[in-house]
Parts: sequence; structure tokens; C-alpha cells
Amino acid sequence: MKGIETQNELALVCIARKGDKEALQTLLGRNWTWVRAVVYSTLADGQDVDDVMQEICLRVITRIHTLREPERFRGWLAVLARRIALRHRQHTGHGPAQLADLPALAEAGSYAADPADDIERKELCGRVLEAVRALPEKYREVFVLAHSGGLTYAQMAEVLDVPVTTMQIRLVRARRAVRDQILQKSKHKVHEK
Amino acid sequence: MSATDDRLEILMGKLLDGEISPAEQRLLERELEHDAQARELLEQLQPLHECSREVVTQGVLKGGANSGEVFERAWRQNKRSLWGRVGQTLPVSFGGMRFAVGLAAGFLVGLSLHFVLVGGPEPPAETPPTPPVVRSVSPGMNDRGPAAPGFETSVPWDVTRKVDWYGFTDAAGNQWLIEGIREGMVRPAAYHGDL
Repeated sequence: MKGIETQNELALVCIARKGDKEALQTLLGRNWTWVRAVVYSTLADGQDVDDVMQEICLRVITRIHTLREPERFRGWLAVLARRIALRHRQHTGHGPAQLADLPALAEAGSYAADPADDIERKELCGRVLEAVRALPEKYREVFVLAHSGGLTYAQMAEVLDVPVTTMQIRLVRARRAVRDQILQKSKHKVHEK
Repeated sequence: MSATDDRLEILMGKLLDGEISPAEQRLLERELEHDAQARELLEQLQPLHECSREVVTQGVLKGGANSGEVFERAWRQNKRSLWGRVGQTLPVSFGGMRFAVGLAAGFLVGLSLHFVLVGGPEPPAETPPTPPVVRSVSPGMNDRGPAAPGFETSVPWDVTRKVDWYGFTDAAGNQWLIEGIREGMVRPAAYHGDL
């Protein structure tokens, strides 16, 4: 289907509801990052994310025709993703997500020019990771969504199914909690020295 | 933490996320000019924001299969699995499926009990048609004893109406045949003079 990328999401949803493979693929591709972010913030095991994403794709393929309001696709997809990830988490018997379990996260921050800056940055990223891990689930979800990029505030609110102001307050609190934890750790370090 | 702090931090967050409007940016700049603590807070938030973005982006995007690959696998799985597709149309959760199976089993047990133990539905007892009655009525309408054998009237379009008939002799000795309608109405029948 020519020029499908230029069509808006609403049109894509309408085409996808008729079972068009390319429309479905484009639609999922456009929403891939934030869906992964939702799954990441819910799951405990990073290895299972691809399995859950496949399950989500399968469910979208088989159930998209039941979506009555195409303009609510993003909210529908978010509910679907969260539900499948939660069920997977329950079946595998893991607790809530431990972001540090994800191997890719621990390798973050490795491009500073100065080796000293590099070490400092890696240390900061490690502490951010630890602080994000300690966040309650609803704050962690908004934090991960906001920093995974690609979604506006309005879209994030739609995904989280809350008003924009609520989403902003949650994000502020999540950032505050991360900052406070990092500052506390820094103070402890100074005292230890 | 006051509402003003929340508002200020929301503005800072919007600035970092690229969501701030020109009016909000002017407001934030004004606040930052007067508030040293706010400037310090923003300076702390900027590196944290960059680091958080880096950590989350790498965690979310790197190390996993791309969307096309995963989608293709799901598409093939959907095409292969007819049962899977049938399953999607049935109740979604396992609990829902169990409920549906239980409901069907209960229905079957109930149905078999009904036919085996009770013995099936009995046909409704037919009430014998009440024969029409012809009664003789005295001029004073007090005598209601039977006067004539019952008979049926037939109409040209082959419909049999069952009615009660009453014989009546008036003061002049004329005989009348009265049709008694079941609904309780009484109306005189035609007199042919040959009774």
C-alpha cells in the first residue's frame, strides 16, 4: 500500500481493522517504543520482553476488529500491553520489575570523551537506575514512558488513562524521588570520605 | 512541598521534555531570575534528565528484536494456529473459559435430570368440548330446565360455533329460539315458524 506511512494513525487503524497486514505492522511499529516501555516497567525479566511483545502483536492482529472507536487505539493498546505483561509476570512468578535486571541498562552511558567524566557519568547512571528501581510502580511507569521518548504529554496521559495534570504531577514526584535518593547517596558518600 | 514548588517543577519538567509553551517559558525564566534555589534545582535536574533518558532508552530499545521481526512471527503464528483464532473468539481469560465450560456442563446435567427423572413433559390435558345445550325457558325466564337436545350450528364457511340455545314460548304461544353467547350476552335468534 503506497504512502501508508504518511497517513495518520486514525486512517491506519481503520485499515488495520479490516485485517490489512501492512497497516497493522506500520501501526505497531509506530507505537513500538512506548509499548516496550510499558512492558519493561511491568515485567521483571528483560529476557521475556520480546515474548510479551509477540503476544501483544498476536492479540492486536486477532482483536483489532473489536475496537469500536479507532481514535482510542493508543489507550486500547496500552491496556492490552499492561494486561498481557501483568499476566506474564504472574505466570512466571516474578515480583514487580527490577530495572537493573535488564543487562542493557547497566551498560548505559559509555561515550564521554574524558575517562574521568566517563566514570562519573557511569556512576550517575547507575545511581539513577537504582533510584528508578526503587520507585513505586505507577511512578516508575510514568518515569520510563517520559524518558523513553516519542510520546507527548497528552499521549502519555492517554496511555496511562489519567488526565494530563495527574500525569504531570506523577512525573514531578517520580523525578523528585529519584533526585532525592541520588542526593542522599551523594551525601552518604561525602560523609564516608 | 508547596503547590508553587509543584508548579515550578512541572514547568522545569516541561522545559526538559520539550513540552513548554513560549508563555510558560517566559514565566519560568522570570522565576529563575528571582529564585536562586530554583536555578540550583534546574541545574541538578538537567544532568539527571539526560542520564535517565540514556538509561531508559538503552534499556527499552537496545537488545531486543525489532518490531518487524516480532510482528512477522506473530503473523505467522496467527496464520498457523486455527485453534488460536477460535480461542480468541471464545472468552479471553482462562477463568472465562472455565466459567463457560462449567455453565455448559450444568446445563447438560439439568437437562438430563429433567428428562430422565421427571419423565419428560406431559402433553396438556385436552378439555372435552362442551356440547351445546338447548334449554326451555318459561315466559318469566325463571324456568331454566333442559328443553331440547343439544345440536351444533354450522355456518357457510365451514366453521362450527358452539353456543347454548334456549327455547322460549311467549304469552301468545309463539316459540322462540334464543342464542346464548358464551361471553354472557343473550340475543334472540331468527324465528322460522317451524319449530
